[in-house]
Amino acid sequence: MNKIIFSEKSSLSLKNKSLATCQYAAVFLKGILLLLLLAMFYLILLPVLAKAGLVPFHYEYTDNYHQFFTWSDAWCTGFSLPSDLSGQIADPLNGYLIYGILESILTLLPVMIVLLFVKRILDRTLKEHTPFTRKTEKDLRVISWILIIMALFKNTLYYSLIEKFLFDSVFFRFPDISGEILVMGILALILSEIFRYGIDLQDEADMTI
Amino acid sequence: MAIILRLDRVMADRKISLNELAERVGISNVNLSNLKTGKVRAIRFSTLNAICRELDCQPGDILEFSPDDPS
Repeated sequence: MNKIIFSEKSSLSLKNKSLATCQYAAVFLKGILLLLLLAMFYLILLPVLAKAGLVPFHYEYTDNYHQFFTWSDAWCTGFSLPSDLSGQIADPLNGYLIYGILESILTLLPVMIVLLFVKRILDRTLKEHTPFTRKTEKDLRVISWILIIMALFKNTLYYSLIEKFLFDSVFFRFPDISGEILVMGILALILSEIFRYGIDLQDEADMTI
Repeated sequence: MAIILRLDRVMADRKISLNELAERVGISNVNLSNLKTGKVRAIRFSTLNAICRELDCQPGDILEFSPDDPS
């Protein structure tokens, strides 16, 4: 398939303003991805250092909120569980590490993967001068499935794994669906269908000289 | 219905190359080549206008309708 020519006379390639927006968005996304990577690093590295005794660490449990303090009282990560059955964590150091790993894998990693796909879409749009390509449609579909599965299972998995590994008890609450992520997944699915139509329109436009 | 393109005939008559015509008309070589081989689905009046202007011909010289052709 021939791509439409990129010249002033072509009315159907991305205009300068859209191209500029795509470029800014791509740079912004790179920044966000780096931030998330750093967050993941921080979530896993600090517990490891705390376990090795290289950083000060103490754990507090007040008002159903578990808090892990490192460095100083101002620097803390924490979480709270939907049930108050479990009480204090028996082994806070290990608990901190497990919490960090779970948070990274179940919360940060899917978000990073989705944003990576979004970045791919943006880069491809900039390269091809059109957003309507088959690969973009496929990427959007993948994004929508990741988001929908994440919405349906993330909370359940997260809370049941935390209960199991931190408190050695069984806690299972289903369906604990994350509504906003589900909506985003469905929107991404609809968007991929719209892009499918857009691809047909793009082909039609490309074949019009 | 079939619209048959006679662009190569007119180009040969006027002794003009693909590259030169593409440059004068303002479309890419690829698109003009597609037009010659009949791969395009539609042509804008502005493009047809430019081609006829450069080749000094009528649209009927370039486009021919053949009702019997099933494609």
